[in-house]
This record gives sequence, structure tokens and C-alpha cells, in this order.
Amino acid sequence: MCSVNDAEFETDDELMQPDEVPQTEGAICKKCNENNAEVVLRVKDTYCSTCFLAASTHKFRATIGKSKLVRPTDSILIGHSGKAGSTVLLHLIKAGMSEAVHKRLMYKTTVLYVDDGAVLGQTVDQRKSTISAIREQVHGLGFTGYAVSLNESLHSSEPKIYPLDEEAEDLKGDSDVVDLFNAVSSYTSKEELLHKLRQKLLISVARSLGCCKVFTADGATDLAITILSNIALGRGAQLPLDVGFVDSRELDIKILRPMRDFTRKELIYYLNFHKLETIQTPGLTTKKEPYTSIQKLTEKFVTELNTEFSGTVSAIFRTGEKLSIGNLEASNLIETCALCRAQLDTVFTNTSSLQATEFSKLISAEGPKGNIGKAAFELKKFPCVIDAAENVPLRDSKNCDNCSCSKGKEKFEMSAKNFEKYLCYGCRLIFKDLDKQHSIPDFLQNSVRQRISLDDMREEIADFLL
Amino acid sequence: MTSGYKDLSITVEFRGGAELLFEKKKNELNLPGDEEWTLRRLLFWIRDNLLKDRPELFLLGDTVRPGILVLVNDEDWELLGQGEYKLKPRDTVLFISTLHGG
Ligand SMILES: [Zn+2]
Ligand SMILES: [Zn+2]
Repeated sequence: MCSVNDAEFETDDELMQPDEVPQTEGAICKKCNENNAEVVLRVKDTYCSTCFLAASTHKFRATIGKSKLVRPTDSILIGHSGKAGSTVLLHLIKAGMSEAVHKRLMYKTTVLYVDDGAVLGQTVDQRKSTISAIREQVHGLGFTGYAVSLNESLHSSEPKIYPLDEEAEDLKGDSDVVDLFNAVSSYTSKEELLHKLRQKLLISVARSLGCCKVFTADGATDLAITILSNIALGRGAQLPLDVGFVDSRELDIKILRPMRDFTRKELIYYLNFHKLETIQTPGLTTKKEPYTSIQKLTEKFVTELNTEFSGTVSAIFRTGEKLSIGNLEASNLIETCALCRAQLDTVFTNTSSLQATEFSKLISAEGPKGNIGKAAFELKKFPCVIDAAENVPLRDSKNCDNCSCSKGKEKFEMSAKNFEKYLCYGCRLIFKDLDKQHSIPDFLQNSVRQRISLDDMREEIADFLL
Repeated sequence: MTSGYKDLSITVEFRGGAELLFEKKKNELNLPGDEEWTLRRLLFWIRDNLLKDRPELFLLGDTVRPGILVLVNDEDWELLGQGEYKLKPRDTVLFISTLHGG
């Protein structure tokens, strides 16, 4: 054990004790017992800048090291937003590259900025100026990289990326993704969608650049908030993927979270001690009411609680650590969600909460006099019960793309209900908020179509299987 | 009692998204030297003089809203007595928001 900093997530002693008024005025650093303290962590741990920065570097290296997942020569894509987490991440990696030989980081790194300005209501000019600020910042940190527009996440084709060094001349309005976000009614679902599309884009860019890993800069505070809001959003089954060190839902590319042991306060002090600037742009819910979205409300809840009880973030975070995905592999077919690619959590078991939810939706819809007996009995057979959306075709019926067989006609007729079958519970909720007139993004249609023909194929050959 | 205080020149800066609540990111202030300036008094002065709107996004009660960090000359205000800290000439006070939702 080497660092007091590690104490944050490894001792149970101080969790949820109401904070006493600390006597930290004029304190000296508790690590070196020499310099004047400049920052207080966990109410009473005082550090000078030298010891704080040394502990930060150590913590970062330890997080990556103990996972044993990153090989020295790995090719890594770094998702960079210009904000605190990824700015610190880039700085730590650069510093690691100039360490003494035996502990030098030698990753081949590629920085990627996902330009989501269009859905945040920015004009093309505003987006250009953000991109050029990002370019300056990334250069200042000793890197070069690429930018990609969020719009690219909607298509099945390889995403068009361009070097940050080149002026983004042909930046367009990104109308597809803007229309999609406009058709989503709640901010909760908009935030969810933004996150899922961003993750998808990071994966597909990593794939096209030949990177085997992606680093994202989620810190401990972010992850604590995500743990609580994801539970509220029906994503409990995917928590280990969404908040763990490694997200392994894609077989070929892993998303890693090397900043997960840093609280937001630590990130800010790291930036400040190194005089690093961040690029701030308003987000989806900036300056809106706390009740605008579940994520925003959860952020407020966690932040306020953490002010009174400084163990809050680590208590939630550590609880999240202990969760693991149930053994769904027992069933021989592992289906994944067409949007977020997590294992489908929508398979009914006799006591699933999804079944309870669908049941309650059913009896609410029936009203007090409704006869639900038969329908409830049949609920088990329905993967999902939706009513209004049922009649809206996902895609106009047409012939099979590859041939003119008559079978294609019915085969590719997808109702929204059919479509839902290929989404996890959390992603279904996003699409419940989507205007029914709005078309489903290309990549989702393609992915569902592939899934359906696979299912059909399975059915056809089922008789031949033992 | 006559005032023994001179006008107080300090720098106040907003970062991490806190600047979205204000006209300017960096503010050179010349505060009237009528009495002693504590950080708490400065908070209220900022609310009344610099804040464009939505005071609840900056203050909660008589302190900053949870999620906003305060640094005086790059030092954590928790080491300085927080609101009780007495401002000195040429102090630089930083307000840094850690809130993503703004
Ligand atoms: Zn020290
Ligand atoms: Zn999903």
C-alpha cells in the first residue's frame, strides 16, 4: 500500500459519518508534514500541491496497472471533450510518456473529439470555434487528433472523421441527428440517447482506426451519479458495464475508464495546479431546472449529499463496484440490444420486474372493469406490450433487398413493437419518448433487419438441428 | 468610528461552467473600503452586482451552491475558514463549477 489517496475507496471507516467542522485552517500537508496545505480532500486530508500531484499520478498508474488489461503497446482511442476529466487524462498520459524508461507509457494514442454541438443548439460557427479551441488545447497538451460529428453515429457506414489540424470547412447542420433529438420529448431520454450515440461513435471510430481500446474520462463523481440515475432509468442490469473499469460489451474493442478513482474536486485541483484550461460549452440541460431530467436531478442529489456527508460519492461508487452481471450465458442465445449493445435484460423470467411492469401497465390500460384474466395469462408470451405504436410500420413494406422473392414482403415489415423486441429495457424507454412519426435511425433499422433475418434463419434450420 | 480600510482591489474569476452565469469570466474588482470584506460578504456582493440571473445556481443559503469550489490564491477555501476568510488586497478568488448539468 503506497498512498493515502487510495484510502478513498478502500476503507469503510468514514463512510456516511456526518462531517464535523474540520480544523484545517493554516494546516500543513499531512503527507510530507512540511509544506503548507493547499487542498483538503475528504474533509480532513490536507495536501500540498507537490504531494497531491504525486498521489494523482500514482493513482492513475495504479488504476490502469492493477487491471492488467492495458498492454504497453496498445493502440488507444481517447474520447476527449475538452472538459476537466479528459483534459487531466491527456495530461497524465503525456506525463507518463516522458517518465523514466522502466515506467514509461508507450501507448499509441489517438485523440477523438465528438462534436455534439448541433444537438446542443450551437450554430455551425459556434461549433467551428469550439473545435478550434479544442485543437489549440489538444496541441498544448502535446497531442494531435481527430474530430467527428455526432451525426455520423446514425449511419451504418464507416464514420467520416477529419484531423483536428484541418479546418472543419464542410461542417453541415447535422440535420439528421438534430431532427432525431427534436423528436425525443424528454430531456432524460435526450441525455440517454446522446450518451449511447457517443459511445457507439467512439467504438466505430476505434474500429476504423484500428484501436483495440477506448479510454473515456468518467470520474468517480460521474460514475456515482450514473449508478443512481441508471438504476432509476431501468438500466440496473447493465450497471457493471456502464460504471466498471472495463466495458466489454463489444467483443473486439473495450472501453476503459482510467479516471474512475478521481473525484471532480481532485480533477479541478489537478488542472489548477498545472494551470491547464478546459473548454466549457453549455450542455443539454445547462441552466435548466433541476427536475429537467433524471440525470440532472441525480447530480444535484449526489452533489448536495456529498457536501454534508463527504463519503457519499465513494459509498455509492463502492457499492457499484460490487455488482456483477448475472449469468445470462446459461441461456444459449445471448441477444444484445440494437442500440446500446448490452445483453438484453428483457427476457421474461417468472418473477422479473419487467413482467411486473408490463402487468401493471396492462391492468392500468384496462381500467377498473377490464377483464385482464386472459391477457395477463398471455403476458408471458409477449416480449413487450405496446398499444398505440403497434400499427405504425417501422419501414414501408417492400420486397426483399437482395431478390424479388415474395417472402421478403412480409419479412421486412417491422412494426414498432417488433423493433422494441430488439432493445433492452432502458433503450425502450428512450424510444417511448420518440415521436411516432419520426423514422428510426438507419443503423438501428439495419441492425434490427439483420437480427430478424437471423431469427428467421434460425427458425428455418431449427428442424435440422438436434 | 471612522473607517480605517482602504478600497480593496481583488480579482474574481469564474470557471468550469460557472462563467455561464456571469457577463465576464475574469473580473477586476475595486470594493469600497467601508468595512472589512469577508468571503461571505463577497458572495452576496457578487450575487447583487455580477450575477445576471438565477442566484440559486450560485448560492445556497449563505454559502456557494454544492458543486462549486472556491479557491483563494489557488488555495482551497476550506483551509482558510471559508466564508470567514478576510480578503486581502490583490487576492484572486476563483469559483469553479464541477456540475456537468450546469
Ligand atoms: Zn506535501
Ligand atoms: Zn439498450
